Amino acid sequence: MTLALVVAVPLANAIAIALLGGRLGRRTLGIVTTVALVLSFGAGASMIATLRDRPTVDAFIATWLPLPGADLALTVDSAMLAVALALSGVSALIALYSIGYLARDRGLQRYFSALSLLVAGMLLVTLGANLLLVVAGWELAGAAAYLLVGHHREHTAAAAAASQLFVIDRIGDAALVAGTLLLVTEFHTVDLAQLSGVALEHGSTIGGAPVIASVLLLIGALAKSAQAPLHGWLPDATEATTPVSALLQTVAVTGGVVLLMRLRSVLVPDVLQAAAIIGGLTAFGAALVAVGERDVRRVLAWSTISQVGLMFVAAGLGALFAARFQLIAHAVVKAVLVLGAGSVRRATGDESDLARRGGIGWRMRWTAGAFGIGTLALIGIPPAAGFFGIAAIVSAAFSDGDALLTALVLLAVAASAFAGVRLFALMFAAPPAAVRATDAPRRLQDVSLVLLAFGALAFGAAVSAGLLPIGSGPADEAPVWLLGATFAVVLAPSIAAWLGYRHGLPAAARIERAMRWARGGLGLDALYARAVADPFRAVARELDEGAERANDRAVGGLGTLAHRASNVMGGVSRASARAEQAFLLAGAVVLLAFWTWSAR
Amino acid sequence: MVQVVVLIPLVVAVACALPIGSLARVLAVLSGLLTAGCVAAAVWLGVGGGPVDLYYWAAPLGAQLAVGWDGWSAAMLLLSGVLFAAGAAASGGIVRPRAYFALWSLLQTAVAGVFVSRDLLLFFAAHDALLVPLALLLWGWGGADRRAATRRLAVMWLTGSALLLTGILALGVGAHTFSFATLAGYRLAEASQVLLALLFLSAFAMRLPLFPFHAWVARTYVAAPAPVAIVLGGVLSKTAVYAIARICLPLFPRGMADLEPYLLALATVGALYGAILATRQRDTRRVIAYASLAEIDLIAVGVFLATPGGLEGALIASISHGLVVAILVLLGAALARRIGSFGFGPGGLGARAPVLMALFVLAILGLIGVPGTSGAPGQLSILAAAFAVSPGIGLIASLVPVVIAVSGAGVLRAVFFGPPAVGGLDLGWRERGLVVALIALAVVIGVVPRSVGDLAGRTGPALSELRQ
Amino acid sequence: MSAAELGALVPALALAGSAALATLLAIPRRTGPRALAWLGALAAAAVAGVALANGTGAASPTVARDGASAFFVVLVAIVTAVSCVLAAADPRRIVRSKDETALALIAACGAVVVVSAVDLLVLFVGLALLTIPLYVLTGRTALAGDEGAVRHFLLGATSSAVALYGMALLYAATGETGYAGLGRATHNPLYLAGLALTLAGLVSHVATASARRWSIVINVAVSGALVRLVAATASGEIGLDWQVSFATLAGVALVVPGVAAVAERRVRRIVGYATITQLGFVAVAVASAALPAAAFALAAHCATALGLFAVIAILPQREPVLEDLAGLARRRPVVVLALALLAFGIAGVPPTVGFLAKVDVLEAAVRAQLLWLVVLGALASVGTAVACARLVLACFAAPPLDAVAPSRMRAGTVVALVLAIAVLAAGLAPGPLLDAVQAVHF
Repeated sequence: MTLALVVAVPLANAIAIALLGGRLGRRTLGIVTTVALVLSFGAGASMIATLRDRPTVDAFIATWLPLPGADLALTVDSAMLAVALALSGVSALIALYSIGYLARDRGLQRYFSALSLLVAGMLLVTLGANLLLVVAGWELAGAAAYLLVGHHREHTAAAAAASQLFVIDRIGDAALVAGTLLLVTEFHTVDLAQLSGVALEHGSTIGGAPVIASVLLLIGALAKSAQAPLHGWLPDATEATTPVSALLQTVAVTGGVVLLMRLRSVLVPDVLQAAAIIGGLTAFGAALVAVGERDVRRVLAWSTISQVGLMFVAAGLGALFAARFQLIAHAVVKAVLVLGAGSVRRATGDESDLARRGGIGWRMRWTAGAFGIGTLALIGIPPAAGFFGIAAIVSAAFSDGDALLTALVLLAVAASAFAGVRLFALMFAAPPAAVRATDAPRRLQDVSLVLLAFGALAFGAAVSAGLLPIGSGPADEAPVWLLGATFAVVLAPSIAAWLGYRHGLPAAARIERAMRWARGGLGLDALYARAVADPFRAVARELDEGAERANDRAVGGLGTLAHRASNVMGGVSRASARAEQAFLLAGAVVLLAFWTWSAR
Repeated sequence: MVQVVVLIPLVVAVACALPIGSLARVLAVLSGLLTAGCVAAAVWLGVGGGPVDLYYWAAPLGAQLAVGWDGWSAAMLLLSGVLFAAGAAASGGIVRPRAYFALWSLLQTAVAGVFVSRDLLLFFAAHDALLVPLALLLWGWGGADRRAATRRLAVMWLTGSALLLTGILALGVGAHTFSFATLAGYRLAEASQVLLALLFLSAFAMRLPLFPFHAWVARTYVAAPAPVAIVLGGVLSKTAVYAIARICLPLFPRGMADLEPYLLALATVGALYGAILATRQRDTRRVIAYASLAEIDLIAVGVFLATPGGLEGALIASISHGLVVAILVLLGAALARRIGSFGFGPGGLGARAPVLMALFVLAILGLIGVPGTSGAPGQLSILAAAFAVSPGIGLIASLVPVVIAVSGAGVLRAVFFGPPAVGGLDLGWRERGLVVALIALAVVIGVVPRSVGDLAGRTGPALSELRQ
Repeated sequence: MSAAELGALVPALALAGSAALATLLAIPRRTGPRALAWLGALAAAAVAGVALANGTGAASPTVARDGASAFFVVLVAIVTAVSCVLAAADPRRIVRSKDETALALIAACGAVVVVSAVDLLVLFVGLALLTIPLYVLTGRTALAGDEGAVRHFLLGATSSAVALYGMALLYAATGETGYAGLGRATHNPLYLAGLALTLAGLVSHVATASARRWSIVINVAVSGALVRLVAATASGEIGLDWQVSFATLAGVALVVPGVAAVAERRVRRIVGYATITQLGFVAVAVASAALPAAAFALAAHCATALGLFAVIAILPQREPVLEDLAGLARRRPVVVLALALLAFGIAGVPPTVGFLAKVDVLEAAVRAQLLWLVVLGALASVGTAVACARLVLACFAAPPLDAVAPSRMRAGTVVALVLAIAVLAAGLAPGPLLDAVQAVHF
């Protein structure tokens, strides 16, 4: 029952606010939502103890569809519980932040309802007992993301981003649904536990359908988690307001990783390998782009894409502990960074371009401190959380014996470290470009930031000390030299970035020029427009002006033909009397001829 | 019970001959709700079912008034009652109300007749008879292009009906009976099954419409007044779905099996075609027309697959599609009242009309088939059935909701996003009430699809003999 | 004349007597033409009753007295009665002639003889009795200077001449004038030629009759005669294959008007085309050797055609086009309702009797393996339906400001309405009519 509450409370909150929240004020809505998410967190936390004794907890609610295994049921083990706790916890703090940040906003009923819906959806993805519930949660989260990104309707750029998100989300959803249906057809059940069992039995006799299904599921995961080639929506989605951005990058984006983790035994090994490689390439490429970007929000977005890529590497290699750890750590850390950046933006007149803003020094102490801790955690300086996760992934790649992958991971880590420190330097250490009016962050914003930062610091230590039951993994068994090498790979670029950018952007002009090519998503966006959007529009135009018009004309033409024939025949009956007599006699002759012929 | 469903709207039609003025609208709404209520009650109590031979209509012709209902009929009758009531409620401010509602009720009678006939000639009579009030409603109360649209609609549907009549007569004379029950056990040779199936399908393909025969759709949706568009897209297309499932599949199993690859190809291509074309439209009515075409052809895929899962999915999707089309048409009309035309307007309406936008988003999500909305169970079942038969068809069919999403997102962005436009109020309580009621129904179906799915299971023995 | 022949001729004699009475009553100046027409209608209705009472009886070599003749005679009498009522109520007659009633009754008498004849000479006498008064009637109701009447007369005379020539050849081939001889003859070219010419003459009477109310009597009479001839020749030792020839005839009769009606704008012509299509269906039934179906279709044709002519009579224009119907819905909603029902009847839209007639005929065609004809018939009725729809819809258009108001013509409205209701009622409850046509068999 408690398990059901984890999902039910945010869902009920979403529906309640949507229907009844019209008259409630900002604070009430925000506090109600935060409380709901905290309740969900609490419900989950209360099961930590239970899960020490049992491997899984199941909650059956009702029968649903007439397919085998398709019931309204949830299931959780300690691994997924950790993920769920991270999701609900981070969302609760983001909701808290929103109360302050969106102080002057209208339409908060929509906002908080969609926020709860997003979290509920992602929790359903994490905890649903069968693939159909996973799909349902997936789609709910996608719809909520659309509503959240499009929240400020007057903002044209956000509207465009929302539409783009919607479409890519639909592609992912369609792939996910198609893959699910193929699996159902093949294995005759949607229940995840049964699927894993059956798939293990199949073993090496797996034929074509599971391969296609796995590919489709991978495509879905890529779309949801903004990996190449379906990553375009996330950087654009940062046009939305800050808390939304944070939510997307910490909660929504985890969907694909969770899917890979839960379907580990169902997906075909080749596809998992492909997932890892795609993840690695994305991680490296995105980190490079992050180095070249000038917009704070986009830097963070590309950084997220890179980090999630590392999670894909881990999930693909089967290092589930590493993937989990990185997921949770990243959620906390990225929340700090995005929310902190948002506070800074607010305080400096909504300016996102690093070139124009310059650093703000120590004017915003709490924010700067939290941001600093977050950066350290992100790039992987121990004892902040990130280091353990990165180390785990590196060791997983290394122990798998895949040189390419290890190289990619290390390069990605290096570039990511460079980008992270660069960002911090430009935001805080660089000399200010111009003095602007400050819009000091509200208290709730700072509170949430601090809590998150604390979490970032403490998390890593807590896990190593075995305080948090998310299992153990290769981080503990990694050889020391590997840990040291990782640390070096992290440290060197960090120092280089600090030295290079500490005096602001103009001083680092040479580096900037070198990285210019990395901006604009490595040119992929333009490629998309030419390879996907334009052909689609061309096909649509061709069909509309070609086939449809031809069809229209054909049917209309038949009508015109009938009209003309009618006029002709009408003319026939206006023939002269003599013609009619002739016709009469002709008819008689024909009749006679026919009978003579038929009577012989 | 069965007679009630047909008699109530007939009584209302006759009552409209009296000088009752605007009471006609109230009567029409009540008749729709009453019929839906009766059917719901009958389903709940489990009464009825089984054909009821009323009397011999024209004995030497072999025609009899055999009527009855089962799961499919009941579901369709419920949908029909609800949508006719909704359309009548939305017909406020109509000129010449008595004539309008007389024709409206006659249309409702004929539609009910289609769904309760258990005799081919009676079915044909109702099937053809509904064209008359429809054409008159379009001609008399339609928009600018109504004459051409009505002409095209009438000619295409009549041509199909002519071929249908030929098929019916050929079958009836050969089997010496027109009644469904007796014909179900009659086994024809395969070649004649194919021919008869083609003759029957020609009428239903025009009416669905199936892919190449859709030339009437766009113009009719544009020319029709909103209530008529609701009934056209929501109910009349379903008569074709119902007819294929009820008549063609049980009576010509081998013929339909032979034709299946071609039919599936046409339906799948048609669905994708409609979805792609919907992205290019700049008039909300045309967007609805093409998106509706895509959905209907997807439902047709489910029916042509002839598996229990496909048929059940087709039924649920039919109900959902009817409700969603009604909602979209109503919202489109509300939008047009605010913008002043049926185009997309200057945009930015979201700030001024948030409720309208929210309902619009819900409706589009329902059209796409996002789980939680009514579109999902039907679509998922159809896609599952498609994958089971042919992964290729399944993959192409899966693309259809994606493309519809593209057009939906485009419409939302053009209409609601952007800097706020001048003018435009949000939905009033009356407008809101009707749409919300429909959405509530849709949500119920989305969350509890079993309610409809069970109805699909309660069909006669003929349908359950289908290929598994 | 034998007693059997007299007995069979009772309806004809009654009609002749009524005609004589009408001529006598026309002499005093006080009796107006309208009163005479009402009286004529009454007389024709009475004759219908007489025919029903007369029923079936002994056969005679020249005139039949069986179920078929009873049915057709009753039909002729009813049609004549209604036509007389319409004549009585017609407000547009420029020349009011008192002879009209008498002429109509004589024509009816001729029609009765035609449908009961089982002898070629008797057939011709009846044909002459039928057609000649109708030439005069058509001429009388026409405006001065109208060449339509002359043309009608010429074509009709040619048709009769051709038929007579055919009958002469038949006599030469069979050696007797009775229909029974037709059934026994061998099929030498003389015989075939005679038969062809006779039939051509008869059919062309139908084809050349203009679309006026009296043409329906001709339709009924010729159909009755054709039915008998077909039955007679088909029952011989070597039966003629009527199927293909009548099927072709039916095909042409279905397709040509069906297509021609699509773009037609004159109201009379549209109705004319529709009626020819109906007769095409009758021919289909004959081709499929289903005579009761043919009779059913004929009855449906009479009701709908008469009703439509009644409606046309209400219009003020001589040669109305579609635009002249504009505004009728507002001024005469009852008339438009009747028009709609009648148009549905002609087009074969359920639940009118026209639909059932179509179904009956097409069923028979299916039984006779004439599937192509079924398809053709169904498709042709689409064209008719479209044309009739345009007719009805034109009534809803807004009238131009200088439109002439349609006349009051109460009797005509009543007739149209009664016929429309009959069409609908017969469609919903066809039992009695279906039973009645079962009598048409040989």
